Amino acid sequence: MKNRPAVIIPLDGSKTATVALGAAQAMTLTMDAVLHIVYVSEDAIEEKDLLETLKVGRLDVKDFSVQRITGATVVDAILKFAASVETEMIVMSSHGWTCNTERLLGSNTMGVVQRAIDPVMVISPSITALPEPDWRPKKILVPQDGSPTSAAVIDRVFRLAELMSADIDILNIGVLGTKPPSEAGTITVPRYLDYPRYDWPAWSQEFVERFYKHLPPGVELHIFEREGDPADVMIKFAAENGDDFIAFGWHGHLENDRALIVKNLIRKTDVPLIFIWSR
Amino acid sequence: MNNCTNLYQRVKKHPFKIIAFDWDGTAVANREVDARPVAATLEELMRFGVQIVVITGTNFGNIDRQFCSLITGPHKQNLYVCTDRGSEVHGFDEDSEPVLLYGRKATDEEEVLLSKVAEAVKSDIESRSNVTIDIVYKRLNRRKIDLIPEWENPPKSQIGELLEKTETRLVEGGFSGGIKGAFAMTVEYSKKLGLADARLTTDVKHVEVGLTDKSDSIKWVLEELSNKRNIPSTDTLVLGDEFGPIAGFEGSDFLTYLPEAEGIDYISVGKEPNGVPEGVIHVGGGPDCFLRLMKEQAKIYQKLALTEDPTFLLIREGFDDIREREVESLLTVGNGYLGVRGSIEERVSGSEPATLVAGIYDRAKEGEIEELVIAPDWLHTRIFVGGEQLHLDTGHIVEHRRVLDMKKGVLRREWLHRDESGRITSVKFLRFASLADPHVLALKISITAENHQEEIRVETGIELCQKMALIAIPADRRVLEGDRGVVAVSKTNFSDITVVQAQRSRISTGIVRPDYHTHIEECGVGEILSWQAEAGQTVEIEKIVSIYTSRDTDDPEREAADSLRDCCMRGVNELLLEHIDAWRARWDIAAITIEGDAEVQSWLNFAAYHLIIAGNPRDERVSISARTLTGTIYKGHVFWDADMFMLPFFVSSHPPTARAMLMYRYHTLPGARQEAQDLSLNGALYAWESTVTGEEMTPEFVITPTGEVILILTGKMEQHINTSVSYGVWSYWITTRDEEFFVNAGAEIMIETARFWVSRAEEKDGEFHIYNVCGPDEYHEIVNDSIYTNLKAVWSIHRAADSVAYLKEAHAQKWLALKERIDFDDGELLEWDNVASHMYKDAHHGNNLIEQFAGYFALEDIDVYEYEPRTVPLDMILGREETALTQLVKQADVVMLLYLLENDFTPEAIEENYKYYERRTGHGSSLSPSMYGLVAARLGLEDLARRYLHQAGTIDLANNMGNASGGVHAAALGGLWQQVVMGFAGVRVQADGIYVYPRLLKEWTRLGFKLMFHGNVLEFDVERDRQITVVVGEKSGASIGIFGGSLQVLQPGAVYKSLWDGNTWHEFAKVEEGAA
Repeated sequence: MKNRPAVIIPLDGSKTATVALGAAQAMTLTMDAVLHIVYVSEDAIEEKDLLETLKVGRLDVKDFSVQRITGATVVDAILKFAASVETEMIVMSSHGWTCNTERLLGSNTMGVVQRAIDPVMVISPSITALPEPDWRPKKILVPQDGSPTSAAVIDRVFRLAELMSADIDILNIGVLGTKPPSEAGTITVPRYLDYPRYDWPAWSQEFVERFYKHLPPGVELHIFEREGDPADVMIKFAAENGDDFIAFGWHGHLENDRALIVKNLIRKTDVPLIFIWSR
Repeated sequence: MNNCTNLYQRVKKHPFKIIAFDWDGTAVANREVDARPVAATLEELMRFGVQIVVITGTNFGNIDRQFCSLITGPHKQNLYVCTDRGSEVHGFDEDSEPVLLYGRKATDEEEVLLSKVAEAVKSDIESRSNVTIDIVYKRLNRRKIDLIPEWENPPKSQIGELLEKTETRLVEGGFSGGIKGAFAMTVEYSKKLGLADARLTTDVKHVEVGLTDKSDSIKWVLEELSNKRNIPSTDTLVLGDEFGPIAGFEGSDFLTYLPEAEGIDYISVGKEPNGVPEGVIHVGGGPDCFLRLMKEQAKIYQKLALTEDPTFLLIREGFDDIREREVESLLTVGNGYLGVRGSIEERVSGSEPATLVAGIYDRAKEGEIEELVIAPDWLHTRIFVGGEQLHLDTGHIVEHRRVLDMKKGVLRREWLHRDESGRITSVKFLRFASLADPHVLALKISITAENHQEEIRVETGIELCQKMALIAIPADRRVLEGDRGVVAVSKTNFSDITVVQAQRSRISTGIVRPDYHTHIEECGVGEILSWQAEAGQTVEIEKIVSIYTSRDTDDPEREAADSLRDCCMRGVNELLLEHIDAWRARWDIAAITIEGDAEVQSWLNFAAYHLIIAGNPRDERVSISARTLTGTIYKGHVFWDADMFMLPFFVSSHPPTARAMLMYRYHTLPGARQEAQDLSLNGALYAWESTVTGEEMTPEFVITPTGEVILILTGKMEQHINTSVSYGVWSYWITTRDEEFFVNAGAEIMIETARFWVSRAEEKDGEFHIYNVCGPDEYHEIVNDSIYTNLKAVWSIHRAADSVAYLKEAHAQKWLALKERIDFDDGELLEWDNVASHMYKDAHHGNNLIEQFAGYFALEDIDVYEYEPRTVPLDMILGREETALTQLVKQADVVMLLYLLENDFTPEAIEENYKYYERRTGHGSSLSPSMYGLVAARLGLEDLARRYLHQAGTIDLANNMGNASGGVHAAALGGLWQQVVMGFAGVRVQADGIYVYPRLLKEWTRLGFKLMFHGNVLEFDVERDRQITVVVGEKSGASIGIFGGSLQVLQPGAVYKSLWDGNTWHEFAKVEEGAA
């Protein structure tokens, strides 16, 4: 079991935390993985009572384990366990026990998304249609700005798409008030379209060649272009195009005025988000 | 002056790697003269890595004093001094200190024997006569028997007199055998006394007996310098002044002549009164000639070396596969006939190698538009070390860099690689597409096994099966006669063009003799060379490819084979030198120099380089595609970019290329006539996108990344291309006065394009209008009375009328013939005048503003500065349909008019319109920034001019655009040139002369450029806020003036200056008379 793909769901016994359970099971089944329910607590709870304590009802997955970990902080324990198995994804509710929705993310979720090197799917309790175990994502929305940094996550997205047999929508977003990335090697939406009939196909081809040459067979890739506030555009696009979740690369910093787009996205999203750490 | 360099032409064509020479009499007249001039040249050669070898009879101290001590630096390690008639070889260490590399030390027994022989000769001669003989003992490994002691240090120039005096002295003194007798006696005593292998020489004054001679020196050179470094004997040059006999004796340099070492060039600069041995080339001229020969060699090395000026070098360090396609476009080499993208020879992921030949179009399918075809990949090369291929994806890249030397049109690649077995191999590539002979391509591969002795195998060939968009289909592959070289034949499908590439590779023969064989595979042909490497040894492979197509000749296979044979005879170095000379000639006129701004200088060099490699003066059936021959995304189609943006560069710097581009328009005139006819209009309408015939090649729709299908209307609507062609013709005509072109082709284009406009305009209420067109601003696609189109049409009609008048007056017979051929009725002129006079010109707004098209001012206003910064083009933010409802302009439209038809507007109108449209233009085309920058420069709006200059200069060179992968933006490059010359220098070329009014950026201290005008070269040197200097070429005078003033007639060959008084430029005043 140790060498099989693993999906991890940290639970803390709160009802809020279990909103991610459907998505975690769905990911487990989709990826033919093992579900590891991780509970970090010093409380002495007998193993037979663990699922009840964690408010886990019926489980549709057959291969699962319940890991009660003691002697560590919650975030450290989750990440340490994730490192010990073949983690494909960590699935978490955006909030746990305290359910302080004044805060973007609960403290444990915040800690995990900022430090995890594996993709972290965050489920907000406010999502209209919470994923059920039979959820089978078919389309992944991936926002891109053409910079090598944002493209660095793409191999993880490919891996997820392959495991889920999902297609990928790449969304370039034109933004007012922001300069194009200055990172060397960035391929922004073409500034000059002398002859659009040739420039557009060529740009699309170049974009794909640069960043998506490892696209797995069977996974389809579509490129889109929209303008506006990035978070709003992503949410709107996902709703209009039936994207099941939004996966994006980020640098793991949410403090102060950093990652404004990500913060906005967390606030407004109506689909699960996957954070992919991009260093 | 002795013409020794003409007597020995190879010295101008071949770079020798080893130059060995006698010192006294050859390099210098004697040991007293100042050797600094010759030392400076030899030192320069050492810096280029040439092994300089002095071969002398004298000792090291004498040479060091006169020559070696003048030289210091690491390059001194390339200097060797073979002294004491072959007894010693001295080199120099990294601190320039002498090091004895070889020394022959006589044994005590040999020393005794040498003295005995000399003394025996002395004794014998003196006993038979009253002649006194001296012996010089203090010479290494030898003794000198002095036959005329009373004449100390006779100069070589007095050899004849010396001979006579010595001979007289001996004979009259009673030794009747003379010099020969003394020499024979020395031979006899050597044998008799047991001095085995004695080496005897004479300089007439002495007979020398020793253990070594100069043949030992040259043998050391061959063994230690040639063989150990695998330098072929053909790269060795030996010079002396005494190869031929003197007084019946071999000359002193004869011993450096080794006929058995085939390939060495021997040159005598001496008088050689008795001729020279067969195999030695006698050029004479003494040390002066020697110096000239060395200077020729230095000149060659300067040519072959990487350009020092960094603004001419485009350097890409390391390797980044995601940016590879972009890099390949920028590093393209070419010559107008073809372009070769800067792809890596062994191919890497992400690469799109392409050799594109101008005019080779085909269709992917029946009915589809034509597009440029990718020819078979002639670069394809794989290197194996110990059976494992060197590849950037495996092992460790220690160093990797590519350098495009834009001054010389050469792409160099240096790659130091440690493979997974720890073997380090250095590989250097050098490639060029000859500008001297456009059918010739060359690749030099230099491989050094740095730390191993593995077998190295090089497979280099022509790859026929490429996974590219549209390729020439493999047709045949063969080995050339004698199993040396291969040939690949491919064909286009629908256009039925045959492309032949013939290849031959060879190792520059040193001691390495590689295994060689050819191979033919389904997808290619090639040659394989393999050898056992020695650590530190370098092997050079020269690959030459000759390419001909059925567009060039009826028998491309024969032409390619013949050309290849000829090129192989000459070798890559000679081809490269011709190529570099051709580049030098182009840069001589095309270069713009800016002092004070290296960045802009490098952009201008990049622009001129890519324009030069795009234009082909030899083929008037092709023009220049928007992405030139550096990429395929515009399918190789020719747009107005060629006529409006690129042509001016060629008109002013290389009229033959401009002429060929315009003749292309002439040859596609039938297609343009057909286009007009299809629209039930008169005259000719040029295709918006054109290939060979002039047929319209614009696709009818495009699917965007969002899946949206957009109809392409430009092919039908952007009829202003007609005015671009006529503007190009007229500009060329007034700049060159090429009568032959204008009378036989240009005027016809002017008339037919004017006829189109006359029939295209529709009368309404006493005014003529042009409805349903698209101006340069493509955000508004179907408009009425595009002011750009209307005013350019009027201009076109007027110039056509001027053309008719000129032909009638100056070429009456030709005019009559043309008139009949194009069915021209003189009544048409009245109609032309009516249409031009009454064309809608938009003067209805009560101010200086001109409306871009009817109804433009009623559109929603927009200020582009309110949308800054942004990550995408403004039309994408607004949306396509919404954009059309605003005043947002894609690119210079009205502002183009302010430049092209400047005389039609007041200065106030130009400034007012510029400022209005500048705030409404999104610059969604690469054609736009340079035009805005040009007009800003003329208006003295320095900040705007600078900003647009920077925007235009970085379109292909910016790090974060990525849109150069499909080829460079040639119109932007041409626009950049125009912005500097027409904008900052304020050049206005008009029918009667040239006006200038420079306004340089404050960081520029100086701007220099040349223009061709009426076949003459005009050289401008502008010093900011100080003076303009004009040097008029010798061919004719020129009318030049300060813009705003009058033209002045400047005399040929004279120098004029205009001074800046803090407010304006003054009239030109002559400061130097012309040669005439």
